[in-house]
Amino acid sequence: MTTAEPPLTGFSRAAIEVGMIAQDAARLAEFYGQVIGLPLHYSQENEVLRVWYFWCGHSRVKMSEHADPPPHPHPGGGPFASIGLSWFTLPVGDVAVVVDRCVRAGSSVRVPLTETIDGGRFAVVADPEGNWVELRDRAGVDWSGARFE
Amino acid sequence: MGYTKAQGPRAAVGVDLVGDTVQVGLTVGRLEASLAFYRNLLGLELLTTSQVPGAGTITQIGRGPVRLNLFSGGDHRPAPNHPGGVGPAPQGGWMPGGQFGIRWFTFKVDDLAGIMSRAAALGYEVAVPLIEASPNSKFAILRDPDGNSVEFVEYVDVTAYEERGQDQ
Repeated sequence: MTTAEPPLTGFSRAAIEVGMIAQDAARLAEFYGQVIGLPLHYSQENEVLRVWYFWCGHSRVKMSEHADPPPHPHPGGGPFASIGLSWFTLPVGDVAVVVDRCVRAGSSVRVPLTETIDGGRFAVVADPEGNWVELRDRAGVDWSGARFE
Repeated sequence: MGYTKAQGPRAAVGVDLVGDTVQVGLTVGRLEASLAFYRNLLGLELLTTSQVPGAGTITQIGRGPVRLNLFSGGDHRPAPNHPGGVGPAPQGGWMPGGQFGIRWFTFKVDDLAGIMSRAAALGYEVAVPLIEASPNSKFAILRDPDGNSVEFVEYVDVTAYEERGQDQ
């Protein structure tokens, strides 16, 4: 984890959280908790939904499953499938290690390990429900060397 | 019914993290409209762009470590969004959103009323108006130009919330 960032005007935490609607939130929770290794903030279950919230620094990766599910299927395809929220990025130190963990757990690789122009590395895997998860070791957004699988 | 006792953000991590936040990626229909929305509400500015081979461009906007990545495809024509995100349903209960997948994202802000005032002045769509969720927190959800659910949360004490978790 990095050292503390200076306060950022307007935000109580300089962090974004991301939320997914899951078909099987327990399966997603296993992926983000056990495979990726994010620590659980808390989980909760009641008559209408069950949720798992995992920390990523001061942001969280959130997943919920609803008794009344949404009408449309997962769009799949990451950024190329449909307008809207289509992927998110986890800041991990050793991209290769995390990709290997994901592959061993059965995840498909969408963009294999790729060197970036600033000397970093990134890759993209799909979680068990097809959400694209970018793994990147620095804050940039260079996708110029990406090969899609 | 069940609840797992909360642990704070400094809990033991099973992965080497090099940042304190995720970045969120959005496929946008009208890049300029998205840029204006996030600049007007949160002061996010254009940081860099990257070509995606054979597909389009990613424009990164942000402030400090807060980053959004906006994909806009040249000749690529992605399917339309299915608006609808999580939140309290007008008739009670909880909306599951329009489809499965990544459906909402959240900013933790220190002046939610100010955000909502700016949104109203700019004519942005309110999906869920400001709600006092508990004595310790309030939130609201706006729709961005592509119909995405953008949640804003203000805590009386964000550190206490992080350690405590959901209000019981």
